[in-house]
Amino acid sequence: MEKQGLKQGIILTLPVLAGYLFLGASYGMIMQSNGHSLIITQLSSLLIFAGALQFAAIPMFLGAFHPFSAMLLALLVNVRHLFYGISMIPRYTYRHIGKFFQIYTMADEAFSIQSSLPEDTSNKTYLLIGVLCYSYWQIATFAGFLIGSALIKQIEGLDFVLTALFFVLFLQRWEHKPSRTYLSVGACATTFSLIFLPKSQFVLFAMVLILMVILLEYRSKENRR
Amino acid sequence: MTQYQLLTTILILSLVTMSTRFLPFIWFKDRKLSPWMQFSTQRIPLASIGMLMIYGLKDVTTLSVTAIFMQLISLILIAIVYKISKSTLWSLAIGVSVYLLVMNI
Repeated sequence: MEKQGLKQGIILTLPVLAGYLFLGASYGMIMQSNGHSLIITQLSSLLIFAGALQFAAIPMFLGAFHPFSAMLLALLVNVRHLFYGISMIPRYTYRHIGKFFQIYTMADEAFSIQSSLPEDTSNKTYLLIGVLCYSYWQIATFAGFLIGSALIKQIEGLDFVLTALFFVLFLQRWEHKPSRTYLSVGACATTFSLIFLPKSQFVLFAMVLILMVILLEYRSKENRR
Repeated sequence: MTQYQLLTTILILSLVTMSTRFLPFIWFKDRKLSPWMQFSTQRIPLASIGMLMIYGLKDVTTLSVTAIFMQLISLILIAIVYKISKSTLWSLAIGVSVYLLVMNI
């Protein structure tokens, strides 16, 4: 039973494994070539565990010490987690340490897979998916630092697997007709923001747009009552 | 930056990231949801998946023309295979393999 759960978890996270090996190894290699120690490199992956932010912070690690800019950068890059958290509240029902790790490992990839599972999925499965993704990232960072990502880097475009993963999980939701409205709202708001706003702020703006659309629908429903 | 400052920066990034992950769980703990919150929390999960789909494509403009074209072809292929097989794993495997093959030959 346990073994089967693990097997299912690994199958579910296979695309993440491929994508993380590539990105994590690239991160490890860049940190190494920038002259950082293995301890600092691995600590950043262990403590931050947010790929986009870790890459965005690379120039910051080389510059002067700016605690406030660090805060702002992390907030802007990761503000999207707020939406993931709101989505997972009814699903993460573990208590204490189990729940801590469910939330701690809630990255884009873990969230996208977890939220595609049926509502009655066990907490063990959610935790397993999070912990597997976290482990892949750690192993990839470590490997990238030690052996360099030259080997993996030779496969051009491997990070496309994560883009494809998000796309196919979107398609899966699209099958359910009533879901289409808000899948489109999310996609359109983000596309609009991406076109008209700087890359550092578009996610925040997309989230505000989405909330505004929801608010408008809420108001119009209230008025009809 | 000194090693001590570097470590502090990592800790700041970690704490802010953690707060973006933990905040909703802390905020809504044992709290009765208002009608507006109930309404919005039913819609945010779907909007997030739509957002994430586009987020995955955000760096597409930095790629070569061939890569952009091939990503488009692969995504269409994924959609077709998914429509037929209803299998996320199969459609991913086929779409990504085609992309990787073309890009690495």
